[in-house]
Amino acid sequence: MAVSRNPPEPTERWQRCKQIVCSMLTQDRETWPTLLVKECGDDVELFLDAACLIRLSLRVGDFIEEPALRKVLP
Amino acid sequence: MSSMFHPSGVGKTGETMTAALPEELTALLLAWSDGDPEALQELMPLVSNDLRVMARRYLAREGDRHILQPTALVNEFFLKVNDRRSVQWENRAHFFGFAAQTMRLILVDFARHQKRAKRGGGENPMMLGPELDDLAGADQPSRVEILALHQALDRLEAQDPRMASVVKLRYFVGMTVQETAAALDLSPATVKREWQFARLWLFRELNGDGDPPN
Repeated sequence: MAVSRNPPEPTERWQRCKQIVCSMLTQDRETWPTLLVKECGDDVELFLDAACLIRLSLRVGDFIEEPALRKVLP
Repeated sequence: MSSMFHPSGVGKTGETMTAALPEELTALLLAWSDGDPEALQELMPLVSNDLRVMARRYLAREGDRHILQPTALVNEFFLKVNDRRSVQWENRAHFFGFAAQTMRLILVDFARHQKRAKRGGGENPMMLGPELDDLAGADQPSRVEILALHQALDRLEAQDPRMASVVKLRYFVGMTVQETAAALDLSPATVKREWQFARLWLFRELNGDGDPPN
């Protein structure tokens, strides 16, 4: 297995999106639109990304919550 | 852990353990880690057989599929292959990273075999248990999910290697948030955030809804 000693650092955009989404998940849904506008400012791409992901939190359910191994063992 | 392996090689349920000795498994793991792809082909049937037998023993004792702990099985297996201590693990993260990668490849290969067999490719699927034909049942996760997730995980790893490690340990090894945090030397709060975001991002990747942030 190739193990990279120096894995690439996530981009600033990625980190920012993660920060916004994770922060929003701790807040009431009613505050999400206001938070999105406030946190993303005029960065439309970031706004769309974060909005898409936070919207998916409403229907992600228990996706991949059950370990894969449990699926294939008897 | 090693006490669960009967010295004769025959478990309490009467099933025969793999013919592979720990040193053989370790040698294959080492060869694979050194870049020999054929070692994995030899390794997978041995590993899957071990896991199947271990799981059945576990279920014979506990009698409840829902309390089966994949982490315990993985730990047991890797303790077995590491018995001779010929594999030098740098730290816990290295060990569990290796375990996660192995489990991931085994499960993905299993899913591919099943897919080919269903298409009538004339290839016998690598069986992990007799109930596998039910995998595509209505209440069972699809094998396609494992393959699609495997590919999406490659893309996630390119974006955020640490987040991908969290997913591998949580999904492919079955670790809890606490266990993952300990294995990666992160705080549980960090693991929880990484896991939350990863689930959303992977869900979107698998449902084809939008582009990843870059």
